[in-house]
Parts: sequence; C-alpha cells; structure tokens
Amino acid sequence: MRRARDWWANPWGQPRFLAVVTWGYMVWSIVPVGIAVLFSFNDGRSRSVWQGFSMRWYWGDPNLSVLHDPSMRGALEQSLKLAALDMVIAVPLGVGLALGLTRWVGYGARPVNFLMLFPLVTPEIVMAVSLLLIFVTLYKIPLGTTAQVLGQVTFSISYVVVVVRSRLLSIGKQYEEAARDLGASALGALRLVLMPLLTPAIFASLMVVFALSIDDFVVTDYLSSNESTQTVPIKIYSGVRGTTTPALNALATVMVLATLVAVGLAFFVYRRVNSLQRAESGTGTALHEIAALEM
Amino acid sequence: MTRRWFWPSFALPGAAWLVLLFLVPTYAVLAVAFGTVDPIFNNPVPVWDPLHWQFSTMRGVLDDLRPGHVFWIVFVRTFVYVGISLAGCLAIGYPVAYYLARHARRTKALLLILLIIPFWVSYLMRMLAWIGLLLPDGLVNKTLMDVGVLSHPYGWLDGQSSSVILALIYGYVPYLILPLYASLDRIASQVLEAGRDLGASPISTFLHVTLPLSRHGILAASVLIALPMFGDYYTNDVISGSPRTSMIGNQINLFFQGGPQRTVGASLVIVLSVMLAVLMSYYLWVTVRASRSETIL
Amino acid sequence: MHPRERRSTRRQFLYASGGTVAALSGGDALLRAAAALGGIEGAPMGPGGIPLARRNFPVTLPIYSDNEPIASGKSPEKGPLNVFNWADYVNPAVVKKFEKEFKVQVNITTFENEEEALAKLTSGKASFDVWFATVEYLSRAVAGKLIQPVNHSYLPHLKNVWPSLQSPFYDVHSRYSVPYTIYTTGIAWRKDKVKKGPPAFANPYDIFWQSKQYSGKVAILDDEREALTMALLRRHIYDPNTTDSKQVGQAEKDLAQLTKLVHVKTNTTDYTDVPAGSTWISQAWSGDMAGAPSYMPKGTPVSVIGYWRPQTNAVVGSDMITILRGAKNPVLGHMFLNYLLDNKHGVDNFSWLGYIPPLAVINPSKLVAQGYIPKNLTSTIVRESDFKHGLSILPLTTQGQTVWQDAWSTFKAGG
Repeated sequence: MRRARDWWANPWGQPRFLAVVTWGYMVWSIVPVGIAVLFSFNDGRSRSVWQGFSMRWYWGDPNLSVLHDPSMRGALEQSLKLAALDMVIAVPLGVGLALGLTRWVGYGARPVNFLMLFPLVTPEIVMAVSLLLIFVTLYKIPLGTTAQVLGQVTFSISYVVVVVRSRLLSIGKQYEEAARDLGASALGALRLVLMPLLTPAIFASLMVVFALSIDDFVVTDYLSSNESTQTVPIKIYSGVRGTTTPALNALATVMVLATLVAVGLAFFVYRRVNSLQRAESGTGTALHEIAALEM
Repeated sequence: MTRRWFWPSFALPGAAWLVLLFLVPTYAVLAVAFGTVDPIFNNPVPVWDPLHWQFSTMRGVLDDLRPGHVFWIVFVRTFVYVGISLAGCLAIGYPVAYYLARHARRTKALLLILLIIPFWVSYLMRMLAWIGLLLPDGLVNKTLMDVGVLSHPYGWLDGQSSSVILALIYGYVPYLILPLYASLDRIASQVLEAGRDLGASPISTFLHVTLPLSRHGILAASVLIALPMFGDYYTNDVISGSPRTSMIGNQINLFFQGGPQRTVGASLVIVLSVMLAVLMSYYLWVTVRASRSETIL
Repeated sequence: MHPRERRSTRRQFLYASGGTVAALSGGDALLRAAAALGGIEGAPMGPGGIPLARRNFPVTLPIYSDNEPIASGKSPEKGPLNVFNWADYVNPAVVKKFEKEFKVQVNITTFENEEEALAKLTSGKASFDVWFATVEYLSRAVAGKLIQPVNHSYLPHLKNVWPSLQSPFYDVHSRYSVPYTIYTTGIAWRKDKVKKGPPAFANPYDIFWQSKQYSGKVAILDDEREALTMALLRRHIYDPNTTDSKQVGQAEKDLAQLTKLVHVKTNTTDYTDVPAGSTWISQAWSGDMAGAPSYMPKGTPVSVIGYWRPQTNAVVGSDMITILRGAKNPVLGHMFLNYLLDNKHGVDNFSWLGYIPPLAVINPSKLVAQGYIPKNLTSTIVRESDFKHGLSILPLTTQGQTVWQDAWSTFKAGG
C-alpha cells in the first residue's frame, strides 16, 4: 500500500514512466522495420497480407527476385559501387582535413572549419540542386555514376572529420611529442605513432561513409542519369506506392543487413582497439562516441 | 619553416574539394536564379557576373511569397509540419534520451544498440515499412477493424496531412535522440546530486537543473533535424499522393523535373536557404562553442 | 507524357553536341524564310525553324540535303539490330519471330523518359538503328538531324494503317515516322464502389467534382498537360494547346477545388490502383485499363472496372517508330518497322501490350470476340474516328510552357 502511494506521489522518482516510454519507443521504432523484413519472405505478391514463407523474392523467382531481376540487381550493384568509391575518396580527404584542422594554428583554420561544418547542416535538396546546376552549367560533367560519386563524397567528408577529430582530441598530442623527443621527424611521428592510434577512428569513418552512401537518396537521385544509375533508395522511392512485389522489401533488407554489419564491425573494431590501447580518456565508451557522431 | 605549413597541407585536398564542390555550386545556384533560360532545350543559362544579374525571376518568386499566394501557402504548410513534427519528436525523444542517459544502467548497452539500429536503417526503408503497415489491407487497418475502432479500411495513404506528420516524426526522431542523449549524458551527475542534496525534489531538480542544462542540447538537436526536414519532399511523395500536403521541397523538385523554369527552382532554393540561415548560424555557433569546451557544466 | 514514362529520372538536361546546337539554334535560314512566307503563320515556331505542328497546321518535315533517305532495293544487313524503346513496350514474342524470320539478333535498350532518350541520342556515344519516339520530340529530332527520312519502298505494310494516319498532320507524307500505337485519355472507375459512373452525368467529367463521398479514392494523372486539359475539356475548351493564361488559370482553379473536395491524388499508377481498389475514380489512359485483367486481385472479376472516354474531342495520343540517322542497319530497321505494321504481328503485339496499333484490320467487336479485350472495356479501343475527331497534346513555345507550368505548380502547392 505504501509503495503504491509512494509511486503515485512520486512518479518521476522511479523511472517507471520513462522506462515504459523508452521501451514503447523502441518497439514502435523497430517493429515496423521488422515486419517489412518479414514480408520480404512472403510467398505471395502482397506486401501486407501474409501468404506463407518463401525465399522467392531473394533468389527463387526467375523474373522478379532480387537476384534475377536486372533492375533490382543493378540497383544493388550501383549502391555498393557508389559506396565503395565514396569510402575510398572521402575517408583520406576527411582524415587529412581532420588532422589539418585539429593541429592548425593560424588564421586559415576558422573559415575552413566553418566550411567543413556547412554540409552537415545543409538540407539535401539544396546541396543536390547546387551540384546538379554546377555540373550542368560550369563543370560540364554528365550526370551519372561520376557525378553521383562526386556528390556523395562532398557530404561524406564532413562526417569523416567529425569522427576522426573527436578521436584526435581524445588522443591528444602527448604520444607524438614523446616520439619527437625521441628523435622522430614530424612526418615520422605521424606515420609511426599517430596513424596506428587513429586506425579505429579511420575504420569507423569508413563504415560511417558506407552507411551514409548506401542510404543516401536526394543527392544520388538528382545526379542520376538513367535506370542503370539507380540505387536501392531510388528504387524504393519509385516503387513503394505502386503494387511492387516484396522483392522491394527483400532489396531493402539486403541493404539494411549490409549497413548493420558495417556499423557493427566498426563498433567491435573500435572497442577492441580501444581496450587494447587502454586509451586514457574516460569520458566516452565506444558506444558513446558513435552516438555522439552527429555532434 | 616547414613546420607552419605541415598541418595545413593535410587539410588542403579536403578543403579544396569542399570549395570546388560545395562553395562554388552554392554560387552556381545564385548565378542560375539570377540568370536566364535557353529557349530551345530549356536549359538554365547562368550569369556569373553579379553586375549582369537579372532579378525578374526572383521578383516573381517573392511576389508569389506574399500572404495568400502560392509559395506563401506552401511555406506556411511546411513550417507547420516541421513545427508539429519537431514537437512530436521532442515529446517522444526527450524522455527516451533522458531515461537512457540518467537511469538505464543494466540495460543501457542493449538500449543503445536498439537506439542506434533505426539510425542506420535507410530513411526510405523505414518509410517502406511504415507504408506496408498503412496500406488498405495492412496491419494497422486490420488491427483497428478487428478491435472495432474502424468499420472499413481507412485511407492512411490518401493525402492525409496527419499521415505525413506522423511519418516525419517516425523518420526523424532517431536523428534527434542520439545527439540529445549524448548531450544529456554529459551533464555531470554531481551537479544533479548537488541539487538533490540541497533539498530539491526530483521534479524540481529536473525543471530547474537538468532542463536548463540540456537546453543547448535540445536546441542543437532540434536544429539538426529541422533543417533537413524543411527540404524534405520524398516523405510527402511516398506517404501522400496529394498536392494537399506538399511541402516546399516538392515545389522545388517540380521545377527541376523539366520545363523552362529552373530559374524559379533555383530562386526557391535561395529563399529556403535564407530562411534556414538563421537556424544554421545558431547551430554553428552552438557547435563551435561546444567543441571548445568538452563538458557543459 | 507517354504512358510508359517513369517519374523518377526526369531530371535530364539535354547536352546537345556542337553540331546539333548549331542546327537547332541557327536553323535553316531558308526554311525559316519559307515558313514565314509560306502561309504557315499562326503555327508557333519550334526549334530549328520547324513550325510546331497543330491539327489545323499540318507540317511537312523538311528533308535536308545531308540527310536523305537510303536508296531503294538494297538487301537487309546482317545485324544485330539495335532498338531503342520504352521499357516493356514491344511483345518479346513478336521480336523473337522477327529474329527467326530474318535470321538476325535484335538488341533492345530501354529508356524511361524522352529527355533521357534524347540525351543519349545526342551524346554521340549511342548507336541505335530504330527509335520509338513521340510527337513532342519529333520536330526536335528532325531539326537536329537525329533521325533519317524513311524510304517507303521498304514499308509496303504502311498501307495497313488508317488512312488518316498514313499522312498525319505532324508528319505529312510520313516522311520520318510510321505510327506505332494510339491511346486516349479517359476516366476509369470501379462499378462496384461508385454509384454513378461518368456516363450517368450530363457532363461526364463532373464525376470528379461530385465525388465528395469518395474522398481519398480519387486520382488524376500526375501529368501537367493531361490533368489541366481535362479541366479545360470539362469547360468545353477544346484546345489542349492553348496558351491563354486565363483559360489555363481557370483550369488550375478547378483542379484546386478537387484538392479541397476529395483530397485528389496525382499519380500514374492507375493501371494497378483501380484494379486493386485503392483508387475508385481515376483519369486513365486507355491502354492502361486494357491491361487491367492482369492486375485484378484474386476473386475480383474484371467486370467491376468501367472505362469511359468521349466519342469526340477526346485527347488522343500517339507514338511512332523512326530510323536513326547513324543507323548501321537502316534496311533491316525498315524491315522491323514494316514487320510491326503487318496485320498479324501488329495484333500479336497489341495482345501483349494493351495499346492499340492504328491498323485498319482491327475490328473492335472482333477483339472482344477473340478475347483480347473484356466486354466491359471496349471503350479502351481507339477507332479511326476517335483519332479524326480527337485532340492532340502538342509541344508549346517557351512562353506557353511557362503558363502551363505555373498553373501546375500552383495546383501542386495545394493551396
């Protein structure tokens, strides 16, 4: 009786209400996605009525499954192709930028810093329109894969900088200075001491760029040319309102799996290297740092 | 001295990329909006020299921005949708972030993983999931009919503004919760305990200590999702087929899909950007300040 | 818009190569002078000095000295024949028969919208023999010397086509094209859900404005020209190419009423939505509804679908096949065109496609008897009289396009 009264008098003290809201949110957030994944295994053509279990939309159906339908497979291939190119270009540029910005002491650092932050806050349609116009009018770059890669790298760089920079700040200058004291050149200290320490962050940023690229819609769509340059999000956008088959769900599920594997890998590598190196900073766990990416 | 240029040189390639592919394109939008159109192919003809800029298109767009006119209606609707969606996201997101940051101890890791998952599921995939549920023969209608609330299937996807707003909330709330959690997590517990030690009740501690301290986090996270939401057009396209719910992104998109008025589209982009510039500057100011101090005390 | 056009990749910019730009902008001065003098005034001028065709201003497309038709009497090349077509727009079985008969291989490359097609053709990198075009882009293609005049000696089956289409107003004497399919725009509805169909109204188009009880289940085509034209037709303005901003503005206001009244949806998925029952009243192309039987869900008979379009002053669309100028297999290309115009193969094609070829042999009542079209959908069949008394959506000048786009953007703003 007393406990009930205590609870009633002090509903905020015990985090019951918050716990309910939190778990309710988790369910609301994840279950629809789970159901969509479930329907990708539907035996029939419906995306909303369950008709039995089958793998037909993945590889079974000879015409319409993800494996056999050339436009679906093409979308998957294009998504992965763009992601690979995006990673390979954006990460080195971003790491360099992060290094430069963190260590730069001078007047140039401030404006470059602002420049780097802008893509993070620009609505995608603004960026997509500006890229479309500059490619068409000035740079004369035809729309298609090249244009898509250029666009994706442009917004990916800033994310790489954010990831790498937070790690750089927590590493601090001590290790390099120790190396310099022991006689290493600036470049040597960078190569032999800092880079290995940065490896988990670089790996994490690779995975972040992968996920960003795979999920991007607006920029990729605006810079696409024809059916062969369509990615999975574009396929979903154009097909979701019609009566497409659950092959669309299957396609999306494959993408989600790829992304989650990538992010999971990043997390585990990050944590493993973290614990191996026994980093000094105590403010963040790996989870926290991935969570804090947006800041 | 090589030392001075050592670090900046690493930043050079990235900075050059951003200048060429972010800054210059921004100028291209201006050059196109204040330029002309080639009549044969309907291609925009940019005018790079500011002295030769033509303002007739922009004047026309601003004209249609007056209260009661076309673009005014769309902008107002967009503001309303974003406002309501933001409020919804905060109403749902803040309790979750708070719980995660302050209370969940044993389940924290699990909850964080569950929180991160939708963050990395493609936005359109989540819309696909939502639409699958809202179809006339989908689970939502089935359940509501089974329970007796509905007598026949409701058209959730038939041009309903409530569906669009709910979809926006569903789509954007993960992007709000994570930064909010990060900033709430940083509030040192000692400060809160100090408040409690000084005799404040839990509610009072929340209202007078936690909430003000998380103010920056709330504002930054809100700006972080409001900005992309303003430019959103695909949510409306997939959730509602109707012009009744179109947002400013849809109008911009319309002018870039063909026809002789890409200058109008570019002008609309400029107007949108100017309106968001206020929010953008605030966010940048907060971020730069926050990055200078590691914790908020 | 072409019924097969897909919305997602409409963001093409035409990167014309240098020569094409010169041809289109400089134009043939002689031609323009001739046009100015020759009494084609009143027809708006299009790119390259070729007037924009109108039904009362037929256009004889010019034959340039550096783009003459091939000589007669040549034997067909070895192939492979490269065809550039909309997706799912020719019966694969018919193509296979052609391959067997002529012992060649046919490669089909598809495009999703005309601007994408034109961009590929003007890029200089593509090499196709045959292109399926529409009226909208025909004059541009001619002015840009992308397509070559056809040699009628290779096209004996052209006489199978309706007389009025053997020398259509947009290509007098069929110099550059042969017709492929004909379709009209009408209204599709679900007889089991909607009490009064369009024929029950004095003005059938009024069904949209009086469907408040079906709110959320009403759709119009997501096409600037088609949607606004329907509003014009409802007001008895029978000119889908009007550039009068008052008329177009009124059409927009009428459509805006629909937004308020019935939350009208705009899409081009009528061919699946109406059979599926998520839309009960929709503006629809005839060929889409002819294909309804394959989209009906289990247990719902196709007889629930109704289709209406006016007997006169219906919007009639048509597309055509052309031979590209740089074709490596022009003779073979001509034979392909001829093959599709053959009565038997034309009907074969239609049975798979749903869209009607304008062949005189096609008898609407026979089509029903032969099981090609369900009895309740005979109105999807387009007859020659429909074409003769129909209206065509044709290209506009830049000012005209602006008027229509402004109206459309206002409607799409939902205000």
